[in-house]
Amino acid sequence: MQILQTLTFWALGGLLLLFALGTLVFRNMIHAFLSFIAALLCVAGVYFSLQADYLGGVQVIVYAGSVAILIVLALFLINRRSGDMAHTNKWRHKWLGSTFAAVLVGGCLVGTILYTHFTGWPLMGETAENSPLPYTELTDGLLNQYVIAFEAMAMLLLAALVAAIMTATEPEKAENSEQGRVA
Amino acid sequence: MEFINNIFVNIAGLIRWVFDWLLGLLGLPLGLTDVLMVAVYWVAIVIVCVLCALFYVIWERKLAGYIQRRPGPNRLGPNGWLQTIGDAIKLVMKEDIVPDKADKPVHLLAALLAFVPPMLALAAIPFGEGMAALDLQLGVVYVIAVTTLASLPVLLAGYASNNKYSLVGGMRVVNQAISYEVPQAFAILSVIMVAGTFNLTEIVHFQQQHLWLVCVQPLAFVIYIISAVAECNRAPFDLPEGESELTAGVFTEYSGMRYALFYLAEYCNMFVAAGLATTLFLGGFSGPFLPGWLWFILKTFVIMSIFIWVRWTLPRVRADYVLRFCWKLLVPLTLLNMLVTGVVLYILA
Repeated sequence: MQILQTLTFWALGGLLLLFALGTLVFRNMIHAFLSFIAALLCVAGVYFSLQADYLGGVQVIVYAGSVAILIVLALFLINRRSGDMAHTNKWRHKWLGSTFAAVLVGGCLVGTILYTHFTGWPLMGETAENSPLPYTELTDGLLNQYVIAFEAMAMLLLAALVAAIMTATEPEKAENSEQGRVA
Repeated sequence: MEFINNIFVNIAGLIRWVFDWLLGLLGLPLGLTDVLMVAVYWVAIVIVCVLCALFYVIWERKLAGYIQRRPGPNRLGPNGWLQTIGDAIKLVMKEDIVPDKADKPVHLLAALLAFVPPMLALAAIPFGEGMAALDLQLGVVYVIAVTTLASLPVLLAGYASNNKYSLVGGMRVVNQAISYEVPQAFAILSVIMVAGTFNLTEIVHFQQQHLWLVCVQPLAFVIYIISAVAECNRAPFDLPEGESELTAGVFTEYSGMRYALFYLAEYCNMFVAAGLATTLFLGGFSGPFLPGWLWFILKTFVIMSIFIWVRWTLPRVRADYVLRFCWKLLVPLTLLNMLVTGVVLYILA
């Protein structure tokens, strides 16, 4: 099993880097977006290969499933002729600002990784027999210990949703555009 | 009897033994067997996909014929049963036409990717005792996750064709798929609440010990079937194709082999939905007398026939009615169903 594990990890890791690079260098927006989805799926694959099934499933449902679809819907609103990054990316000539942003984000990421205190989490094979199911602790935390925070967050999201609908719907048409509200 | 019941497990064991022996002979590490077994499982899933697509295409045409009191295809082979093979050969040999202004790589990629989500989902479905290629602890979450990806290739096909009808069809696919995922997931969740596990094989074992979950959750079963029909983009929810308004919708600019891939992928998606319905609600591979995998095949056959029956009976629904039906009826019903299930479980516990 160890060989399979290692092989999968390196294959997925290599693909992930390739697709992430593709997201940056493709000149056509849809191609860049496709590469982005592939990268997200590779991350899910890494989760699965580390036996974090729940995390992998959530990664696919939330990111590759829903977020990706939302992005593609936004892309469809852009004229295909101007889909070339040269027209849409307004930041491409601002070298100084872009470099600063890249260094800042990269530095934050590296710093976080360096200063994370990695407690010896059990890896694959060590958990299988003696620990409870992976999601029991999660559900226990969400529905017992942090239930109020969880519910408050749900209310916040609901409020955001209602606000989004209210902003998107023109007030005078709200009465008769049944279709707009349903969709 | 026991041997026939476990025949596929035994075949897999035999192949594994042969690999072990070969690797030992060549002096390679034995761990490679696992890698080779993944390839074997993959080939098995591809075979299942192709076989069920070939069979159900002809069965749909036959059943549609019976429903409409006509013989259906009856020329090629015994009583016309080889018609799909003839059609497949014709589609492969046809000219592959790609529109001049299409996004050519994506146009091809969409057709190729259409097969991936159903194959990934089939890997986790238990066809019999110990016959899931991927027996995950969170099998249900995995299957829901990979089936959400099924709308993506169709959407890409709509975009890449560079055709207004295709694009509208693609948008409709997304609209419908995202909406009906919600009641489908909630319907499945109420099953999980009763069975108390996410593992598909364990859900079947639960039903073996108690009773089929369709008896406990009839509403969830009906809602699951409706959502599955909508997710597979079949009539009465086949708006993405909608030939009367959108020519052929997403598939307008597809011909020959690429069209065949989409067509076959649709049947594979249906088979996954039917397999999941069987596993979750109809006791999966459990049943008396016959071997487990045969029970699974028979039960999926019944569900598939229901899908086909619905398609050839009901007319297409208007786009906004489809969404209104989902959000205003199915979602509240599934939420109510979950609430009632939770209360009953709490009282019983």
